[in-house]
Amino acid sequence: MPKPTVTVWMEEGVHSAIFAQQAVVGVFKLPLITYLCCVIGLPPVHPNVHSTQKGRLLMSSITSTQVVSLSTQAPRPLPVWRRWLRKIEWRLLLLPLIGLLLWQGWALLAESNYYADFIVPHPDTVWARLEERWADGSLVTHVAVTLREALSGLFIASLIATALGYIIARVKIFDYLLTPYLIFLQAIPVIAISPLIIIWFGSGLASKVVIAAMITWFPMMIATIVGIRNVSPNLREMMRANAASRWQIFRHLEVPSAMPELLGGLKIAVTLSVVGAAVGEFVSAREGLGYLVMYGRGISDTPTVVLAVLMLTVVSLVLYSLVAMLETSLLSWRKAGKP
Amino acid sequence: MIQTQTAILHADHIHHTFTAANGQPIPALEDVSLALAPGTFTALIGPSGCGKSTLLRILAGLVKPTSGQVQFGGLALDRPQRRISLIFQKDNLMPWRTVYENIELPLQLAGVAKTEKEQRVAHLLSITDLLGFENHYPAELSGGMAQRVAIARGLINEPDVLLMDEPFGALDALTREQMGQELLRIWATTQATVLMVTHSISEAVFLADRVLVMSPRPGHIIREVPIPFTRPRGIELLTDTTFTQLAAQIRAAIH
Ligand SMILES: Nc1ncnc2c1ncn2[C@@H]1O[C@H](COP(=O)(O)OP(=O)(O)OP(=O)(O)O)[C@@H](O)[C@H]1O
Ligand SMILES: [Mg+2]
Repeated sequence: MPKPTVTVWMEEGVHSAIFAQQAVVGVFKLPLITYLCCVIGLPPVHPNVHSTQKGRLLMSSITSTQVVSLSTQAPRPLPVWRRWLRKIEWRLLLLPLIGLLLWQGWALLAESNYYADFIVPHPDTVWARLEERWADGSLVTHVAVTLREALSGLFIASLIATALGYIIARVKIFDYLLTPYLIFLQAIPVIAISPLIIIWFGSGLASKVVIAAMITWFPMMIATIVGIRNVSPNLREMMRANAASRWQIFRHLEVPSAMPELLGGLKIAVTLSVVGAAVGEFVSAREGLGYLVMYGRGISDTPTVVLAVLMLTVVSLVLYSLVAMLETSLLSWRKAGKP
Repeated sequence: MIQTQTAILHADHIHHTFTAANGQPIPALEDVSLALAPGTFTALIGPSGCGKSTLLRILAGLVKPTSGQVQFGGLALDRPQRRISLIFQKDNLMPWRTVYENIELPLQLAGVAKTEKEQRVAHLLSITDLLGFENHYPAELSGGMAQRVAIARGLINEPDVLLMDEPFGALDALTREQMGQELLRIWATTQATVLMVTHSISEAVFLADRVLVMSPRPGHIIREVPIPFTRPRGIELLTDTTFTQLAAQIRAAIH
């Protein structure tokens, strides 16, 4: 017989946990320290407690009558001001605070004179470079160039990779014939082959698009294969029983069913596409953030290098967030029925 | 026996043999013939693994039998038809579609106009007692509610033939009885021909016009029991002596 478990919710913080402890301790005979561990998320220190997650205790060795006596205690309604406090998104306030701390830490490190400016430039110098390049419009140009290369590569790769992934997932013979060669293709280090790509496609947009595509197609293809293979055979049969055409099965079953995997793949691919564009620009380019890194290095201006790297990061982050937002809106059904 | 000419769905000397992964043949159905007269309710009962689901898949046109033929409305059935609806053992709902969108699916696939779709879904929501849940997702429903959604989806394009594979299999006894009565009520408002697989003898006798009993694998129909009760049938029928006699007769045929 499995041990009965019960979840004790302690959402109201330390004070209520201590308060609740007085009520619960008689039932469970747990020491106060266990509750404190629970509240601050430390590992359990009591044999009856399975695990603590923030604000939650999972306990065993409890008889059903004890559980009943616990669950009959109605929670006290919170005063208005506490309900209002709980509505504030503390996470959103804390997030920029951490960023500010990191920035200050960086500034302290730069000001310490322990490292030369050439090694660790002061954040204010980097900020100054940002303002200069913002004013003359070159920052926007570089960002736009890199963005265009990355997104074009991602777009082309997604088209090819989802088509390939689809036939590999659906037709056995293609899986057998193509997969070894595709894995071979993926095994070529993109960074090593990028000079060759530049020779073949020139030092303009095309070569960067190819490199970005080469680095993003694989996660997209794997996501498609996994997504299509995960389509429930029962739902397939249900669609067939309803005389659905191949196109209808694709449109109404396979696409929505594979959507979680596809978006997961897209999340990986979208950040990689920026890496691909930058790698291409390292080898040979006249604009773009990757070019800016090389340019800064060439004129020994570390603040420009740091600025370009930071901008690459920001571009990646923004693209990732857009996909994450798309995911939240497309997959809202997955929240249904969860406690 | 019902005359072949008047039957809407008619299976003629069906044999079906599966091939196991190791190449060994598994005879699942052996010489099954049956005819469903329009508007009748037939129950199919038999031991587990005797080929009931396989027979239903063949009758729905999903599986081509090894030999024998299925005729639907006088024509050979070679692929699934919209006029034949199959309700599976599991509810088979799409988790990303709401109740409304799940019920609507067959109409969407058939390209029915929006206003008509809305009318029909609304009607089925009300007869399956799901009003107010149209915007819920399957994950938010109880097992019985999900099964009712599947039944509503099976009925939505007003099929001529309704094939049901243990539609109440996942339910507890009490819900099962309620759903059975509900099914009879819904069925009375349609003219559908029903073939329902069930493991419950009393459910079969309670719901059907006749009960077909299958042998263990390879399955064939060993007994046909007509059920004489008039409709509408109430729950008090379960204690009727004729009812218990019929149930005993069927139980004896199975063993
Ligand atoms: N795809 C398959 N491949 C091989 N054998 C199969 C396949 N499907 C079914 N069988 C075999 O055919 C027989 C009949 O299966 P079927 O699912 O029709 O039984 P059933 O009467 O519906 O059983 P239950 O009442 O348990 O649902 C089983 O013995 C099974 O081993
Ligand atoms: Mg079955």
